[in-house]
Amino acid sequence: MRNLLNPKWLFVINTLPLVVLFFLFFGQFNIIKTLLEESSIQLWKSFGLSLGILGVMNFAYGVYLTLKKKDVSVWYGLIALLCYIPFIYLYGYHLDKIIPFSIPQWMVSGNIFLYVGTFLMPTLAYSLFVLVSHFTPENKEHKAWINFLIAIGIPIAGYLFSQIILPLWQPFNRDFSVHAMVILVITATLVFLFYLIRGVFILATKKADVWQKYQLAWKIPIAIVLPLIGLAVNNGHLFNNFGPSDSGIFGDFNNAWFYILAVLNGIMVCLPNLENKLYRLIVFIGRSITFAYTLYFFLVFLPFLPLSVIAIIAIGTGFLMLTPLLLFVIHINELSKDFTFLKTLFSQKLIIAISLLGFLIIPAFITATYLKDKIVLNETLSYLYSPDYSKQYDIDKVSLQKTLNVIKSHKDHRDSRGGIFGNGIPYLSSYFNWLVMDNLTLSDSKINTIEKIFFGKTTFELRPENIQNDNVQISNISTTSSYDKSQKAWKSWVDLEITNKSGNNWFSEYATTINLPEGCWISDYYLYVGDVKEPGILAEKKSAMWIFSQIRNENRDPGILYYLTGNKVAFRVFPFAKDEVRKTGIEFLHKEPITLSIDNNIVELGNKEETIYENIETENIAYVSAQEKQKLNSIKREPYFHFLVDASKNQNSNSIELIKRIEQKLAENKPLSENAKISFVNSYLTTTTIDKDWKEQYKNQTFEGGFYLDRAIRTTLFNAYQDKSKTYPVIVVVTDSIQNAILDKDFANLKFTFPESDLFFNLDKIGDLKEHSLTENPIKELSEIKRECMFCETVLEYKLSDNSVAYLPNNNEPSIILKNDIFEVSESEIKEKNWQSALTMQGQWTSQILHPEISDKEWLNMVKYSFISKVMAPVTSYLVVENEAQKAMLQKKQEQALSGNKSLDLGEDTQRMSEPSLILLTILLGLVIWYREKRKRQWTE
Amino acid sequence: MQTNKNIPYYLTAVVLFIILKYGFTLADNNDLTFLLKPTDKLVGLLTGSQSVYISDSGYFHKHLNIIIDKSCSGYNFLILCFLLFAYLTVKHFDKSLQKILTLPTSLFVAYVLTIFVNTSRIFASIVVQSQTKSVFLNHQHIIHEAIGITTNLTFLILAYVLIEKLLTHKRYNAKFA
Repeated sequence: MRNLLNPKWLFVINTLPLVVLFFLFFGQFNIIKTLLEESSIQLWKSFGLSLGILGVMNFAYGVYLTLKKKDVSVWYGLIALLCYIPFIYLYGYHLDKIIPFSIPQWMVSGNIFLYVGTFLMPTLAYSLFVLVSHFTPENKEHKAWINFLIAIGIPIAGYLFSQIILPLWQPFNRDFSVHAMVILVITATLVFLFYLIRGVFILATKKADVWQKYQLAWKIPIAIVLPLIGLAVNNGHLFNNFGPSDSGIFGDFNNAWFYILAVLNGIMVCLPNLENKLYRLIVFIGRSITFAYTLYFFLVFLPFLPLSVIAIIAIGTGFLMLTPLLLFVIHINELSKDFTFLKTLFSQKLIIAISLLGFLIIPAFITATYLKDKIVLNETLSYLYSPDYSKQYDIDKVSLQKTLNVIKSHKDHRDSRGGIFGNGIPYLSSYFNWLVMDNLTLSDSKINTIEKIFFGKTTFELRPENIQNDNVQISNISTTSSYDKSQKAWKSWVDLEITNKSGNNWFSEYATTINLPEGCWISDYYLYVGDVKEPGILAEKKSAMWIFSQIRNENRDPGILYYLTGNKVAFRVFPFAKDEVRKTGIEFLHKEPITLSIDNNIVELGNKEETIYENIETENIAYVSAQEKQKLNSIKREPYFHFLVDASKNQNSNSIELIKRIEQKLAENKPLSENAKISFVNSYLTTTTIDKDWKEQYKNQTFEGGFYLDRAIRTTLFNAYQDKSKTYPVIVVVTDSIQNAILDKDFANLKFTFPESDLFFNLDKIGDLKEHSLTENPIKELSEIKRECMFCETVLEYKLSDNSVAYLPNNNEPSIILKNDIFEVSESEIKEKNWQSALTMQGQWTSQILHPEISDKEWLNMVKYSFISKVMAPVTSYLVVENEAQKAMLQKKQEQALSGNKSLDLGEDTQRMSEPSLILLTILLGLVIWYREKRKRQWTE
Repeated sequence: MQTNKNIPYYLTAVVLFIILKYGFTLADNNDLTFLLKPTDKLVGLLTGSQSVYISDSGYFHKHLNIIIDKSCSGYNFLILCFLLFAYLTVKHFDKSLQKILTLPTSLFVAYVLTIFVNTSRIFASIVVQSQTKSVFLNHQHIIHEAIGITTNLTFLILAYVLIEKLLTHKRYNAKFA
C-alpha cells in the first residue's frame, strides 16, 4: 500500500485530471465568453490562473521528487487539502457568476457544474491517504475498530449537533453562519473520511486472518446487497419520501440492466479465489468485464464523496453513497490478486490484453445499442421529412421509443426538473447525445409528430404564435405594370400603405397570405424603415425566418415574404406603433394579366392588349396559357373510391363497424365501387383492391401507432398521378374521429395531382360523405353544399410534344405541366428576373414535391438558382432588416452561395480537407530518417 | 565515393522537387485532376457520398460538407515521397542507367502511394472530426492538422522502411546469387 507514496502518483491523480479539466473549461469558455460580463470573465481568469499555478506547482513537486527518488511528504497531503478545498469552496460560492443563469442552458455542456469536484476529488482523496499513511506507521500496533468507531461517531455527532445546538444557534450575521456551517461540514467530512480510510488501511496492511476467513460476510453486503439497495433507493422503490424527481436522485438507473449487472458484478467479486487455472482465468475475465460497471459507479459517485457525511446525518441512507467507493477498492484488489496468480501461468501481455478486451465488452455493447438507435432515428426522420413514396418503410418502434425517451429526458434536464444529473443517466446520456444526436436535439413539434405517428400520443403542448394584427390594415394600394417584350412577360409593382388602426400601444404586426396564380412569382420587395427605402434581401428561408423571429423579439423593423404551401405566400411586417403608417411594395413577375387579392383588396396587373400569348414547352416542363386552355378538349375521367381506413391503435374495437360503413357506401355507389381501392392507415400504409379479401386483411391488421392520414393522402395522390390513366381517385377517409388524424399541412403543393376537384371526404357514423378541402385546412369539415351531380367534374386533355397526355383543371387559369419527374437544371439556364427561369425553378420544386427523397441533394441548387434569378422560391425568402450587422450577415451568406465557392452550405462552413504543412512534415521525416541512420550506424560499429 | 557519384542524381531530384513545388503555386484545380479525381472517387467509395465538381472550388461533398480541392490534393506528399524514394533508390543502384530510371519510377510509385495515403488521410479526418466536433469545436483545425501529419508521416516512414528493407534484401541476395 505504501507504494502509493511514489511521486509518480501525483501525475496521475493531479496533473492528468487538471489537464482534462482545463481542456473542458477552455472549450466551454470559448463558447460562452461573448455572453459573459467583464466581472465574470475576470472570475474565469482568476480561477483558471489559480488552478494553473496549483497544477504547475504540483507537477514541479512531482518532478522534483521523482528526480530525487523521494516519497511524497506528509506536508503535501496537508497543503494540498488546505489549497484545493478552499478552491472548490470558492468555486461553488461563485458558481452563479462563473456560469450565470443568463447563459442559455443548451450552451452549457451537461455536467459542467460537477466537473471541478470530479476532477479535483482524486487529489483530495490522495492527500487524505498520505495523511493516513503518515499517521499510521507500520511499526506500531493499530486497532481498526477504534477508527471505524470515530468515523461512525462523526455523523452521530453531526446529527446531535443539528438537533440540539443548531436550533439554539443565534447568528449575528447570516453570511457568517452560512460560511461557518460550510466550514464545519467540510471539516467533519474530512475527519470522517480520514478515520474511515485509516480503518480500511489498517485492515488492509494487517491482512487479518479473521477478515480473510470470513470475507464473504463483508463482501456480500458491500458487493451485492448495498448496490441493490442503493439502486432501489435512488429509483424510489425504497424510502421514497425524499426524492423530488421521478427518475432518481443521481440519475435514471431504472433500466433492468443496472440491477442485473449489479448482481452479476457482486457474484464475480464474491467468488472465492481457488487455485484452479481454468476457473481462475474465467473468474478473471468475468471480473474484467464487470469492472466497467464498478468503475462507472465509482466515477458517478466520486464528486459526492464529501457529501456522504451530510447525507448520513440528514437521511441516514447516505452511507450507500460510499458503496461504489468501497466496491471499487475491493474489485481492484480482487483483480490484482487474480493478476498475480495468473502471471505465473500465462504471459503477462496476454493477461493484460484479456483484461482490456473484457473491460471493453460493456462499453462496446452500449455503443452498439446506441448506434442502432442512431440508425433508427435517421430512418424515422427520413420517413417523415424526405420520404420516397414508392418505398416500404419498417421502423423499429422499441428502439425509436427508447431514443425518444432519452431525447425528451435531455429536454427535461433543461427545465431542471430531474435530479442532480437531470432525468438522464450520468455520463451515458452525454455519450448518447454525442453519438446518436450529434449533440443536437429534436424540436418539440418534431417529437410530437413522431410520437403521434408511431405511438398515437403526444407529449408537448405547442403554443401557437401570437400575432396581433386585427386592426392593422392596408390603407392605400397602387400598382404599376410594365411589359418586357424581350421575355414576353410582365413585371408589376404593387405598392402598399399599411396602417395600424388599433387603439392600444402594443406593437402590432401585419400578417396576411397572398394566393399567387399559376405562372406568377415574386421578384423584388422593399420596405420603408423610417424614411429610408430598404430593398429586400433574398435569403435562404430557414435563416431568414430565424433572423425575422430574432429581430421581432427585439422590436426592430423587419418585413418578410415566404412561401407557405403551394402558391400561398405569407407576408408579414413588424412592428406597428399606434396609428403608424408604413410603406412597402412587392414586385410580381407574370406571363399574362392577373388578378390578385391582397387582404380582400383586388388588384389587376397587366393588360390583355399588350400581352403576347404563347405556350412554352421545354424538355422538362410545359406552360399552357389560359387562352390556349379554352381550345382544349374537356373529358370526364372515371372516378373510383379510394378508402383510407383508420388502423391506428384506438380503432381496434371498432373495425367491424367501419367495415359496415364501407360496405354500405360501396353498395350505394356502384360505378365508383368497381375499381375501388382500400388502404389501411396507421404509421404506415397498406393498400389493396376492393375485389380482394379486404375485410379479413383489415381485421388482421396490427392496430398500433397513430392515424398518419397526411402520408396516406400524399401517397394516394402520388400513385394516382404516376398512373396517368383515365381514372382518378375519390379519397374517402374512414375513421371515428378525423380530429385525431395526423394532418397538419394541406396538399396545395400537390394541386397538379388532383385536377378534378379539391375535395376529399370523411365517411361519418351515419354513412354520409362529409366534404373536406385538400388545399385549405384539410382537417376542417366544409359546410354542406347541394350539388347537382357528384363526381362529375371534367378535366382538359393536353397532348404534349412526346404524345403523352396531361390532364389540366378545367378553369380559366394557366397551368404548368411537369414532363419529367426528375431532371437536372444547369446554371446557364437561370437568368436574373427572367420568367422562363422562374418556370424552370418551379419545375424543379415540383419535382422535389413528388420526390422528397432527392430534396436533400437538390436543396442547395434551388437556393442558388433563386439567388441568381432574384425570384423567390419555396426555399428562399425576401427579407428587409434594419440592423446593419444582420444585413451584412444575410448578404454574406448570399455571396457565399453565389460566388465561385458554391460549395458552401448555408448553415455551416465547409471543411477543406487540406494537407498538413510540407515544412513540418519534411522536418519530422528528416528527424526520423536521421534517427534511423544514427541507430543503423551504432549497430554496424 | 559512392556518395559523390550519387550527388548529381540527388541534385537532379532536389531541382525537380523545387520545380514541381513551384509549379504547384501556378496550378489550379483542373491541373491537379490527376490527383484529385482518383482521390475523390476513392473517398466517395469509402463514405458512400457523391461529389459535385466545381472548377473554382474542387470536389464538393454536400453530405459530408467537405471540399477536396488544390490544397487537399496530396501534392506535397507526392513530391516529398518522390524525393524520399529517389534518395533511397539512387544509392542502391550502381549503373548510371539504373540510377536515371529510378527517378521516373520513384515518381510513379510516389503517385500511387499518394492516392492511397491521401484517401486514408481524408477518410480518417472525416471520421475523427465528425466524432470530435462536439468536444473540440474550436480546435478542428488542430485536429485536422494532427491527423494529417500522423497519417502522412506514418505512411512515409513505413514506405521508407519497407523500400529500404526490400532493396537491402535484393542486394544481399544478389551478392550471394
